[in-house]
Amino acid sequence: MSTRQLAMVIDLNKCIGCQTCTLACKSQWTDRDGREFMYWNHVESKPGKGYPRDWEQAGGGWESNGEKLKPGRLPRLEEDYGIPADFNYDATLFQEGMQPLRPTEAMQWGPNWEEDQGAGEFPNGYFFYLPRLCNHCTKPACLAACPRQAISKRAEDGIVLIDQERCRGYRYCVAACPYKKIYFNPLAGRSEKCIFCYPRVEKGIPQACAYQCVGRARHVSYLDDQAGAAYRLVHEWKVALPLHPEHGTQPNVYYVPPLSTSTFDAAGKPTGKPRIPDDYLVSLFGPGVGGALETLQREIAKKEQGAASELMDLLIAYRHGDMFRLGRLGEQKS
Amino acid sequence: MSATIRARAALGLLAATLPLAALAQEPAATIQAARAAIAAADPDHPAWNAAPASVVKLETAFPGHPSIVGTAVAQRLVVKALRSAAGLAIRLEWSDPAADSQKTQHRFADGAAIQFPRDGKSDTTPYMGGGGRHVNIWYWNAARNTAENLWADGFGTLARMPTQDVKASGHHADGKWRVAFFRAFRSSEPRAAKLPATPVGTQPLAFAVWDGANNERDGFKAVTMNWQSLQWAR
Ligand code: SF4
Ligand code: SF4
Repeated sequence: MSTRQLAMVIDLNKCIGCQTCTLACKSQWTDRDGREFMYWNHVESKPGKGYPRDWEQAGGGWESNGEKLKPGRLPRLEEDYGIPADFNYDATLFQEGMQPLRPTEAMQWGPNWEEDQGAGEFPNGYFFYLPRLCNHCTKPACLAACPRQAISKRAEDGIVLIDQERCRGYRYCVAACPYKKIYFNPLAGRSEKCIFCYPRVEKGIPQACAYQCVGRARHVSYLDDQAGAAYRLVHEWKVALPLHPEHGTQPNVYYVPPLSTSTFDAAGKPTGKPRIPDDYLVSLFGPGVGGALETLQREIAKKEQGAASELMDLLIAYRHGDMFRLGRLGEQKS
Repeated sequence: MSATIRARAALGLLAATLPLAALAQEPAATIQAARAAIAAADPDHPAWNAAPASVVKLETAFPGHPSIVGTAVAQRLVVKALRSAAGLAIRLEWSDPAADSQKTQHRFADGAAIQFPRDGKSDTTPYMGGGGRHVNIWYWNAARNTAENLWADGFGTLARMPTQDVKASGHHADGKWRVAFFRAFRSSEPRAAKLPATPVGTQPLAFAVWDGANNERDGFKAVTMNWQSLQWAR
């Protein structure tokens, strides 16, 4: 059990799907040595099959009594993750003619395969971006599934790590994680996952994905730090919700659910109903969605009328540095 | 979880899942270590032709953890052993219609292992050792086609030895794996099984086989439930 929990809040109303976070993570941690196919952080368009393909149907997590793990399956490279293909840069950039940029091998899937596809028919189509990473869960299914106690949750910040010395690549954790956020490195013969940038965190520097986020969509702070954005958005304002809480792992990455514009009826008149169906959002973020969206709308309305809104100021994040509070207990800057 | 609690939990699980019949001492197979000029980790070496074959029965191992579920495929193993002046070679042969030797995200490789009580005594538990009575395991895996020299002191404690002086090589043909292991009698590794240079008497050993196509890995394996016996030919 960890005594403190570092948490991330991602505001889906601000994420622009630029994948800066994905690349910040990849170039820092996963661009080499058998990790080329892995995306510890990726951004998928919702609704969609996501990454790895159909991860929401791949099992894992806890039974509803919270005592037994549900079975899960292992994603495949070509079909579910996608091969880390090379591209014809040379032909495109340095040779005569107008060669389009294409992968040199046929790809079946990838981390951003269904970008901007979404669902719904014109004029009521909709989609939104869902950045995903390991949730550094309070009750990690991956940890419980490992017969070798190779996975641990750090007491000081709740970061879930796989001990690469102890791991023997059995992959029970890959199957058990309902978010499919553990990847087997076939070259190393071991399983690997997001490390919440712990070497940065230990120096008080935010995770690469959060620090580089151009949308100012990601806040990071300890959940018990009442001045931190995570505490305020999760516990005080209740506008930040965990992804698929029904799996029982108690995720510590939280999302501010997306608002959407009104649908149009056959006559082209706005109906007042949001394009992203509420029940779809509830299926992702649980029963707190309704309350969260109401709060957001109410606070937006205040701001529109020129009144103050502490919540909106927090989400707008006028000062980049205000989004992160990583000081350890006792050394927190106020 | 402390090691003791873990060991106790594993034992509890063992007691709960153990079919009683399995505890009854099944007659152990005796494997004759035939003398030969050459004993090597070569599964196709002609020297094996002269070695006597023993058939060993395999059963699904006790699951040491709730993650481990399923029935292992392999049911029998043909074992041969050769000893030369240099060391001991053991060859395992079992049926497996397909060789699983790929290193991919969702597939597991076939494997085989030989386990020895480090002190050569058969009152060490053959289920990965325990309580300070540790075991030495020679492990072969089709993806790497080399041996790993391992040791364990109970469920979940398997680890690599600092000294990797075991050799192994496998070959799949005609729906069968043949995997040969070799180690010199002397090992500089203090935790390695002691193999007598002037062989007398018997040496307990146990076997395991993993079928990758059945997702077997870790404790999901076909094993000998009791120590078998290697007899040193005079
Ligand atoms: S998201 Fe998955 S890998 Fe990360 S802690 Fe939770 S169960 Fe484990
Ligand atoms: S960097 Fe920020 S805005 Fe860009 S995709 Fe990632 S989370 Fe969204």
